[in-house]
Formats: sequence, C-alpha cells, structure tokens
Amino acid sequence: MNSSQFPLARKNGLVIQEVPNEVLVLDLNSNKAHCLNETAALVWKSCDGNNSVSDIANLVKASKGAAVSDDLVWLAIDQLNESNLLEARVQAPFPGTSRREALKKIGLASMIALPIVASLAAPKSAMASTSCFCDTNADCTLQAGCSPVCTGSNGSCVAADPGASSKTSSRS
Amino acid sequence: MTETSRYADWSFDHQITIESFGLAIRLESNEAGLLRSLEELARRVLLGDIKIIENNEPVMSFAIGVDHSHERYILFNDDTYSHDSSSLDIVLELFVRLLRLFVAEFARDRVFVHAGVVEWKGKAIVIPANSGMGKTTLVVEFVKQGAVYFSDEYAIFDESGYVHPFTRDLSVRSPGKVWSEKNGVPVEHFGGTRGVDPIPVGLVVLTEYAESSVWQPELLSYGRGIIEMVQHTISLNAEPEFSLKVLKSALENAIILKCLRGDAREAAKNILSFCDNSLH
Repeated sequence: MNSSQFPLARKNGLVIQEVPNEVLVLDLNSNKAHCLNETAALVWKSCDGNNSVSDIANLVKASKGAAVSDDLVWLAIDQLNESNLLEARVQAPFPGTSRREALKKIGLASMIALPIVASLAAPKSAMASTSCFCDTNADCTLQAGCSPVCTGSNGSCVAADPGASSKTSSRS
Repeated sequence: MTETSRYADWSFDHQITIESFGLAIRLESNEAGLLRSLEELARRVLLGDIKIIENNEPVMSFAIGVDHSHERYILFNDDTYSHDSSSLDIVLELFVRLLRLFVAEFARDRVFVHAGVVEWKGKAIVIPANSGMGKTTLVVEFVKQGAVYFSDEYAIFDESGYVHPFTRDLSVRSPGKVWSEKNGVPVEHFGGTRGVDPIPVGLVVLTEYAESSVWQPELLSYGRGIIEMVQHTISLNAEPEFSLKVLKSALENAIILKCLRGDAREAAKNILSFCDNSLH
C-alpha cells in the first residue's frame, strides 16, 4: 500500500455546492457534473496535499465514528482520480484486482457507506447547437457544416449515408 | 450562402430593441413589414414577456434581410450570417428557435431547464428531458387527467426555486410534418387550463420511453437529482454558480424519481397516483 502519497483536491475551474450528505461539483473545464456521496466528499475535503492516505482514513474515522480502512480511502481516491478532481493523478494500489473486486472486498468489511462519485455530462451552449434547420435538401446544402438530407419529420439535416457523420438540430 | 451573406453589405433601416427576461435584443430588417413580423413572433415566443426599449447596446441582435433579386431571405444572428432560404417560414422558424434559446441561456435571475411541467395540487411535477423525448406527449396526458398546464418546453426557476409558467401552445407533432411555432395546439383543446402563479417543486421525474416497460421508479438522492437536472439546464454555461444554487433551492423539498416509462397515459396515471400518496 502506498501511503506515502499526499493527494491534493483540485480547486480551480470547479463550482462546488454542498447539500446535506453530498457535495456537487461542476467541472467547467470538462463540462461534467459530479455528485460525491458523504464518504467520497469527506475524503476529497481531506485531500489537502499534507494528509497521507492513512491520515485521511483517520480523519474520516473521526468524523463518522467508525473504523475506516486505507483501502476505502484508496477506493475514493481512485474515483476522484478518474473524475479529475485531484491536482495530480495518484496511483491507486489495486494491483491485479479490478475495482469491482476491490469494492466487494472493502464493502463487506466497511462500517460506513462506500465512496461513490457519480458523474454526468453537463450541456454545452444551447445557442451553439442550433443549426441545420431545413425544409428542403437545398436548405441543408446552403448551410456550412450541415449534412445534406432534410428529413421532413423533424425539419433537420441528416447524413445521406447512415454511416456518415451528421450535424443535426434538435427540435424543441 | 450567397453574395448577400455579409452583414456589412446590408442596410437594415428598420430596427427596434426589445427587452425580455432582462436581456436587450435588437431586431432588424430591411423591410418594415418584416420587422413587425419579428416583433409579433418575439412576443408570441416569449409569451408577451417583452417590452420595447431605447437601448443602443443590446447583448444580441437578429436581422432578417429580403434579397429580392435572388428571392432569398437571410437571417443574421449577432451580425453574423446564420441561415438563408427561399422560404420565409423556415427563416422565421429558425429566428424563433435562436431567440428562445438565447433568452433561455442568458436570462437574468432565471434558470431555464428543458422540461415539461404541470401543477398537481399546488406542487409542480417537473419532467426534465431533451427535445424529442416525449415531454409534450406526457404533458398532454397529465392535462387530460386533470393537471394544470405549465410548460411543454421549459421549467423556468426563480432564485427561490419556484417554477414559473411558460404556457405556450403545445408542440404536438404530426408524423411527416415539420412543427413550427405557429401550429402549436392550445392546452384548452385538451380540456386543460394554464398555470398563472409560480409554485414549488413537489416531484421530479427523470423518465425515458421504453416499450413494454413496467413502472418501477428508483428514488434518487437530492444531489443525484440535481446533477441529473444539470444535464438539461440551458443557463448552466452562462451562469454555472447561479444555476446550481437555484437547482439546489428548487429541489430542496422535492422527491426525485428515475424510471423507464411505457404508454404516456399509464405513466401519467402512475405518477399522479404517486403524488397523491407521497406529496403533502
């Protein structure tokens, strides 16, 4: 176990909102929204660049009043890594084991909820996505970047070949 | 694109500046009659929430030029070529879509979420979904079963998290026919009534159509519910902090469900029955 690493929570480019038992994080760089459950949030908040994984386990233990293993902290760090919520990537020590197996092993032994970071893509600019509106195929060909065929059903331009890429407009 | 696609080559002698949801928007045309059409459309699309103002620094502009020699209509958005068609209807429809999206993305003091909304016993049922996912179909079924119509397109939240009505005519589509703003169906056609005052959110239902699916809703946590809503929040890019704060307020006392749905009538019945048993 590599407890000599000192993870540091990322702060820049994030919008953070706390709700009871969860923390919401909007990553303005990657356009993703994350929901950290209480355990993941406790670990993330303890990642100050000075605390080791064992220190973080102790801090979570003190907060929750239940035994917390280093493995559980690593499980959180692994997800925080993946969600790009740490300043630098920290290698989680699950050699030869998938995260699913680690989850099972840690879950059975844990007295507190397993850390979970749920992530979803946030929308891009709505204005930027509106184009390729059409009534006839000619409308499609006249617009730069649009596929050539106008579908009468929804009035948007689609690719002639189903395999080809298409830039279509979404309808309200 | 034609040789008349450069904004600088046009003289848009007819102009007005309107304000809607705190945004100043300039409308321009080279024909007075067309400018009047733009103003009327803007009023209809934004449900009358516009006033004409004196403002030389609008945050956005829309211009439609008529090129008689080529029999084309050209739409400019923020002084940049946007669309060009021989059909005025097509160009006006795109103007409507751009205008509404612009207001939805940048509105002051409001957060717009792509969602269908109805009122049931004083609380809002919000169904966030992208375009074409059956929001209108579901909203129509709710209305037929006695819910009050709020919107089939946007849930508009104020700072305290209350939902405001956006009761445009419903965008019921016919197969093979292009839908446009002017052929929306009034909610009264379905025996419904329109909401008037802002209300708090009681239930959020994240649902997708899946044939033969059974009503088995999963209860989501408060935080999960918010990030699911984030996916449909139009103002997120322009005002991320404000949007997140408003969603937090909006969902504070709401139940959030995620489920697949089959037939819209059955889904509406299940959801209203859930409300009757769970919302107080």
